[in-house]
Amino acid sequence: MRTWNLTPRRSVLALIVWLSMGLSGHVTAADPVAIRVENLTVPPSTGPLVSVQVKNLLEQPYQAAVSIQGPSGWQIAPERRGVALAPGETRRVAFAIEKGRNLAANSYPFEVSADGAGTTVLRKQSVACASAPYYKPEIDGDPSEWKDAIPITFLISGKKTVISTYWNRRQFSMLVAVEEDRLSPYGQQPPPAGFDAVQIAISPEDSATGSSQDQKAARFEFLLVATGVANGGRCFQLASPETTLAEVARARDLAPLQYADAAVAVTREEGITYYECSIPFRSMREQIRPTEGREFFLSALVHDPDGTGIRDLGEALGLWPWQRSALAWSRWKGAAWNEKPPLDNKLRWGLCTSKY
Amino acid sequence: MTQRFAHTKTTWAILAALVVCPMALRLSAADDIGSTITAKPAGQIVMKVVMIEDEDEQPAAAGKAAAAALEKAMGGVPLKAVLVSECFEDRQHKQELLEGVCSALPAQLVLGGATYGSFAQSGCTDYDSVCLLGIGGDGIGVSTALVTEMGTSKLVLEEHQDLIEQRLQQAGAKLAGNLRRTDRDRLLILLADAHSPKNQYLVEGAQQVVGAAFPITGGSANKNAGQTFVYFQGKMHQDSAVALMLSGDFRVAMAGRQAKDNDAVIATAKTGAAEAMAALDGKPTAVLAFNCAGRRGKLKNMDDELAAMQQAIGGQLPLFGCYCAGEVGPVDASEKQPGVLCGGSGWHVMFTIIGRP
Repeated sequence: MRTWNLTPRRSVLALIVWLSMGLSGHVTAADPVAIRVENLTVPPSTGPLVSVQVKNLLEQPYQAAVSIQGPSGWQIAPERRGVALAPGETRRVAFAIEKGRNLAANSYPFEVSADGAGTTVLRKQSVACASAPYYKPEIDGDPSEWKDAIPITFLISGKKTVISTYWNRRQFSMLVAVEEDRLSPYGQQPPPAGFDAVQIAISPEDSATGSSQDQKAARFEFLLVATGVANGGRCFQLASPETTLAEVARARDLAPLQYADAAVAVTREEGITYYECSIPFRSMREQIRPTEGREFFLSALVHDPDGTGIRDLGEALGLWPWQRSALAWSRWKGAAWNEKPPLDNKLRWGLCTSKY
Repeated sequence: MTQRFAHTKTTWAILAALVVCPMALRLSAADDIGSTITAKPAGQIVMKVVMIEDEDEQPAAAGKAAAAALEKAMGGVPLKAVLVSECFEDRQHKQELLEGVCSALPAQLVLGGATYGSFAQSGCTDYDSVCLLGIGGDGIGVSTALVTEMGTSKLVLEEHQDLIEQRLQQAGAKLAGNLRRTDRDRLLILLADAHSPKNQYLVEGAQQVVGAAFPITGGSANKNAGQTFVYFQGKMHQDSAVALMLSGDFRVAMAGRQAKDNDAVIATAKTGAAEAMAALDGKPTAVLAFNCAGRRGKLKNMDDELAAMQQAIGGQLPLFGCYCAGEVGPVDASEKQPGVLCGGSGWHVMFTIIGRP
């Protein structure tokens, strides 16, 4: 029996996660500053830092005291931190979780405020732990091995997506469970509406998406599709760090981009499509060393062209509206894109050891 | 007649063992209690560290090479205990590594755990490697103990906090209670399957026996799936903890520092090591550093933290360091409890300097 890794109670919580996460990206025009709590990158019970992104929206310098409150019973220090920003500048302000507890729903309510320029800006945000525990899954389409992962659940147009990750020294693994009415598999001749896929971007910590086509992609980007035969899946490598953004912006045929080193299985049961994959660290090791505690960036798009359209993890985790970028995701033939480009692919992620 | 003579010799041998080495009987009487050897006042204390990195996926050879290097480093001084930190992948490779170590050293002296890597004066490792601390000399006594089936390795705090607390406190008390105690016990080293923050409960249990003010250090074993083992008398154990009590007329100075970002990790490595060195007020013999793998994960360059430590301790003193899933020692100020010297925590580097006036 394959399930969502979610009890009904957790599903309700997941809905709350989604609602709150969606709201977190909201910025009022009059606000002098935008604030956003970043994902946690290791389970909170281990006492990690929680970082707040603060962006000055004014055309003059901005100073504020930033404070944060976590879930009930948590201890976070210090009570507030000062920040001084040039016009348009964004900075990370870190607080230490001295006492925290993991929650199975992986949804942590935070309240963050910035008090400056005569205004207090307050945000309530549910934050997820975006972290891959160490594990060596068999890539066979059976999601039962993923119970030790830390799943992130989000809803778009009433359909759930659950993203789980694992790592070991040799592979980065991912299970994306997509609730959808039907699965449109990959074909050499893409149907007019496009086909279903999961697009993944992985990039080193502190990399940034370029703004012009002559820059390099500075990321690894993959596409997972179903072949429609048994548990068959296929992986295409859309970008490596040296790929130019001009190449990324051109809708390419997928066939020459097949990445045989990845293991992929795609199964479908009870209205859910499971994309399971392992991508070798071999080619990424120089940029992202697979060791405990390492942070990097990851994001995912779920392509469901005959259903919800594109489901953007960056949107679910509350990236700001101005973080959309046409150069953040590779174009490919068979994709159906929304009018607006997706959000940037830089969501902070971590390699952790275990939730136990 | 010959048979009777042989029997008499055996009897004398047993009696001699009872007089000369009473702990050997204790060792055979209970398999979870290690050897204890009395420390001679002003006697010799030798602590040496070797580290071997294996780039050929030959764990047995690496273990054997490390053991040989340790024997050589000890300079003929018989070993009393060998502390192991290793980060080979998967049970089979770990088993081969241990067999390699124990092919050249007495298995009953070998204890330790799987970690996320090790560091010594020669550098830092985060992949297949082994680091050995050899302890020997007639001036230092050792007592070791093992507790198994703690029943907490797959429990999570959000669902089982009370059970975890109860079981680990019991395990800690049992572990410390099984140690052979002397009036010159100086330092307790704990290595356990107890990912931070669980490790605090194990320490609390040990403190029920040794007291809140007793110096305790150590680390939690690698918690990666399939990698969690502690080692006792050369054998692998899961869901377990081991203890090593050191006794003698030496001094122990400790300092713990917590940090969670690159600059703070480097800075606290230096200030923590310097504080411990200053507190020793004597000539150091060796440095133990149980460090957090999470701290390492925040470093842009893994070697920067070691370089900072070396600014405080120099480049010659034997340094046994390992990256753990939780650390035991004097917790940083914000977590400190009044009257309690040590605790279990995370994101710390816990320094212990052993030395003499």
